[in-house]
Amino acid sequence: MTVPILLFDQTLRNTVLADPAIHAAVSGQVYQDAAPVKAVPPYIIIAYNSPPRSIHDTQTGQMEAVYSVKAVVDVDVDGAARALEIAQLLYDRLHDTKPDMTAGGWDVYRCQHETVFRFLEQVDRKNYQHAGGLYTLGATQIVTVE
Amino acid sequence: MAIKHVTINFDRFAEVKQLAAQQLDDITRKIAQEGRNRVVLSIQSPSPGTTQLRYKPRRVVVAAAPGQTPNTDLGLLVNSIQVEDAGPMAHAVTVGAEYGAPLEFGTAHMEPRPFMAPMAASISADMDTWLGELLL
Repeated sequence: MTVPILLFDQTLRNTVLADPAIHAAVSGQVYQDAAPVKAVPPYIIIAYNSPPRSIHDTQTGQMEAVYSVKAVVDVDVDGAARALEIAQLLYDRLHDTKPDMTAGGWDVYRCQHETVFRFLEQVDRKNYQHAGGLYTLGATQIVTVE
Repeated sequence: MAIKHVTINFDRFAEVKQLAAQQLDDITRKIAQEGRNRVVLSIQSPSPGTTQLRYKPRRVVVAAAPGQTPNTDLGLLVNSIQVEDAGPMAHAVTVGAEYGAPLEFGTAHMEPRPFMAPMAASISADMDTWLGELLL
């Protein structure tokens, strides 16, 4: 059985970028796992936090994975609160939704917010505020009946 | 003669409630301690990564690859993971090390090495079984 990691990645990225307010807030900058060195905040980073696991109590294949979706803001330019504002936009966009994404024989059936997090990163005399949440994505295998 | 009504006087609800609360408090503590044990074990089990030479004290460590559970170095991370009371019938597994959150969620340019979320997922997967056993 294939694991729908790529589908989960694309689902989050496409869902986030489809929101005009989020798109505008980060100038379309949504990165996977880490930002490029020359990226200028604010931007969004999506990374998986818990490997996909199979849900066994169903007849069709079902998998879930936990992702972190966070905003990164340069505190000295935009202020720490901006990260929280973008995190709220992400929550409004993602929580309790059924993203319309299908690929590779899988269909994403839910996106659920689990918890929030925030922390300050200090590097090279710069302060970066990180704020976001953990989201569980679930996908079910598409069964073709002939 | 027909019985019209029956009155039962039971004045031990407060006692039962207190016992149930105590039992649930014990259960959440045990689950949190199991969570702590699992996350400590996962950090102390070698993850693949790159070998680095570090100083003060001079030592060789394997820095975990992105997406992998961090490897233990001086033991600061592991020693900072504690079980704490989080209110009535609630306990939390906490990370005291300042670099815990950056490791878990990544920094601007460093990919995450999550260790708490995988633990929470494994605890969640076993929850039904545990609750059945612990409530017996």
